[in-house]
Amino acid sequence: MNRVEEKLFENRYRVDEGRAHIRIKEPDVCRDECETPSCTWACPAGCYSLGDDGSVTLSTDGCLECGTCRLLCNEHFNVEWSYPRGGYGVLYKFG
Amino acid sequence: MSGIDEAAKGVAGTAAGDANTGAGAGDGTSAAAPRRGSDVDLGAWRGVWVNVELERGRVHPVSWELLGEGRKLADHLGVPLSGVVLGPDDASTDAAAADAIRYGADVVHVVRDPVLAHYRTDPYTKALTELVERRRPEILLLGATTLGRDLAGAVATTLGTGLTADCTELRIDDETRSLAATRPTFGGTLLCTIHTLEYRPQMATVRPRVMAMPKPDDAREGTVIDERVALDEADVVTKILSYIPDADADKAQLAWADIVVAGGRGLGKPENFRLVEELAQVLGGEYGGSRPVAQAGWIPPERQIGQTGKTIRPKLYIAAGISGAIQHRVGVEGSDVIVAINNDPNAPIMEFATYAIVGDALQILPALTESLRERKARRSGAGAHAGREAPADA
Amino acid sequence: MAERFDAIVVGAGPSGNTAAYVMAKAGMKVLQLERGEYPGSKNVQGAILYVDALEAVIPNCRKQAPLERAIIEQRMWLMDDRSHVGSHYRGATDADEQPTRYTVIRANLDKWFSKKVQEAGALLICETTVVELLKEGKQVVGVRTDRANGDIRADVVVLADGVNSLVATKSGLRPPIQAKDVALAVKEMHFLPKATIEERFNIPGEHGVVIEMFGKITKGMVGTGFLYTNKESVSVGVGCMVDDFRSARVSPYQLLEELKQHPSVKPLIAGSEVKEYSAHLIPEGGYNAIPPVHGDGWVICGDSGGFVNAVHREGSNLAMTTGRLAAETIVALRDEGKAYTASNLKRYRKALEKSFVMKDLRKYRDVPEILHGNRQFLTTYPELLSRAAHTLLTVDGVDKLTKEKQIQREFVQKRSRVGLFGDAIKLMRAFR
Repeated sequence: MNRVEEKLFENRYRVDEGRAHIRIKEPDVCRDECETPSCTWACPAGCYSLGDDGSVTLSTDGCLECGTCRLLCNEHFNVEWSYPRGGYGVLYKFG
Repeated sequence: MSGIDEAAKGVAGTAAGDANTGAGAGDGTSAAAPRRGSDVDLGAWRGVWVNVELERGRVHPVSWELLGEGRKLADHLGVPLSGVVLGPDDASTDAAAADAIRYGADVVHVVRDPVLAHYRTDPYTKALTELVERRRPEILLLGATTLGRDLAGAVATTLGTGLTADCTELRIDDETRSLAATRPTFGGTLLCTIHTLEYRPQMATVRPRVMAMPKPDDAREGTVIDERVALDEADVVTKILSYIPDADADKAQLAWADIVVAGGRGLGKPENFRLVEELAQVLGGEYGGSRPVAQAGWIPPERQIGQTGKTIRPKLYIAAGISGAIQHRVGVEGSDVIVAINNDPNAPIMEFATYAIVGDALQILPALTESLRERKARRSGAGAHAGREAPADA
Repeated sequence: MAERFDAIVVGAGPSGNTAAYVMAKAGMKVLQLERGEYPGSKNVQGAILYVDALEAVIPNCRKQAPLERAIIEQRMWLMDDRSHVGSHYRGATDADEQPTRYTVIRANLDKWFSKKVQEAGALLICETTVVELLKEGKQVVGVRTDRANGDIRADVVVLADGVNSLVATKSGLRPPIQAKDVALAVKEMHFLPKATIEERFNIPGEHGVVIEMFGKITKGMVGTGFLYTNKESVSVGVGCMVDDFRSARVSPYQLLEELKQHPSVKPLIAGSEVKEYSAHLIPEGGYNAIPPVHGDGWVICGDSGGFVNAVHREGSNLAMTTGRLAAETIVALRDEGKAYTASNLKRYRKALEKSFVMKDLRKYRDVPEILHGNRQFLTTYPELLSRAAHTLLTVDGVDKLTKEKQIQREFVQKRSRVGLFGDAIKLMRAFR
């Protein structure tokens, strides 16, 4: 089991359809100004991916709600981060 | 999500309940008092029932798929196959009953009541459970639709019987004459078969597009039984105030398409998705995408294929730039032929695809589209010249 | 919500549960709000429980709490690429004294503890996220939740909302947490038959093993790996400072995969079934990163206040202890009929200073700094020690004196005499 999606598949989630709890505020900033898109490798759920043109796309599936991305984006503060609505998101069976 | 006051009341209610049963603290369900298995006279329960899901004048096609499957089970057991229609007192209910017979039911039990005009958990559960207790079918099948899941759970807990959800296979175990309901578990890596040996009816739900659609037979005959159930609108706590349909005009018919072309992150940019759409159009099929691109907004959410998206069972599925992680695989495994186009030969999809093309989707898709277009043009050109005969397939 | 409460506790993790329990037991009208479906659904831990902290509020909890294995063996491994040098402590399985550490499964423990909290009379509402505090001027008078009509008033609010500490940050009570002060840990739950675990780790019955790993498994980043034995599963994980993941350009799941492949680890989890993958941040900033912990109408406890002793990997016991001290302060003020003002709640801070909580944190306040600036402890030394061990233990006809000189040469080559001396001093200072 080496891909992160395979790891995430074992987890239990309640998806809040249409309501992503994390948002990239200004996508242009990621593409044009950010030199270290560390979110794209440091997110433990692989939610952030780097495009060929330097753009960053975010998919909040599988988010483990750790907060790392919010902390890493401390140059441009381009991550709007909150917890999902109560009862949604990852639901750890073991923790 | 309910308001904070309702949440607090809900908790208080559960706490009171827990004090009595002492069971399952904090999960909010009130379990029926369990009957002893030995109390159930298995022999008295006969027949295979299928819930015919009628809502807003239309029967959900999964009901017909279940009748098709139910027919096999009923024949194996040597018992009748029945449909159950719960609906308003009007022509749509009659039509549903007639269709049920065409799709294989020997008998259709119908409850006509204005209280059942639109689905609400309470009256539907009451009606179905009363019918079940009156007629005693040994097997009850429902489609795993939003409505079906709600109803199945409510009925199963009211009757205190076993329910196996999201089955991929249904058989009869000859030794015990019981339903063998198979479903995937542990992330789809294992299949488990579940038998409800001591309780009746044995309940199962099946997702749409998992079982095959039977052919309707207009000449079939069957019996329609009008059932009476005492239902009072005053007893129903939920009221339907209005119906607000999905505003989106881009209605995808993915689940029923015979040909689906899908794109994933490997396509690189949202603009490249038009290559997927074009191929789908030329093939006369539908287009969809993997979860990441749906989440990123490249395609509308109802075109998402995979784990929490649509399960599709097309004859031909073409996946371009999709890695095929297990969540996606679950949604497309039922396809007859899977063609994967990816420049990574180690992508998981390359292993389970029927044909795996290692290459750049951005080049292969338009090439395919172009050559199919030419082929079509030649055919219809030839057809026009040769006369009226149109080719059997495009 | 029209109803008022004496106290609102935000979070149903170990810290929130302890605070709610103590206050409810003292007859206060307590509302506890948890954003997960059930307590534990949003929590992640290794996990090791220091029973002492739980016993302080629930005496005899050993008999009722869902504990996994009583830890009887501790292994500390300094890993090289394919080998490790380690130390090992193993207690006696038939010792008279009761064990003080147990492995636990976080969600199970939280659920059980939450039952006790509710039995004590607190009202728990799950699936409800507190989005901010309600204030009148500077005084906190309640919370705003994400439900309809979701404003709830109380005399005091206990913030036990975890490491991100969002509520306090949003309400301006504390600065936001920083990447340099937290570690990101990822973990997998590997399920194996009970008998296999007992054989592989030599732990009969209910006993357990804890393995802490350092060295090259964190690829030069400051962090640790761990492996804990539960009844029918093994928790395997690795965590490093968030800043380090950034500079090293390493993905946490990649790190975990490589750890699992290490020849010292791989056979221990062979044949397992992985049933969960989790990730969480851990406060690592120590004493210097602790925010204001009290104010007009509010207190902070647990991870939300950064109360983690990273050196000894103690987090949940500090969470429970700070939760208890906060609750005891509040109960005392209620008994004395005093208001929950900042100056009255200062007693909480004082209680913390008097307890092992602040004493330990103060002791290790310089460690984060030292480790950050001295990565040789995590890279060069494991390698040197491993090779030293290998050299010494290889019987190949070379005389022992020559071998010792070779080892010495390697150490000096890598670190120089001045470096070695300096390292020794640093270690001594950090751990004095």
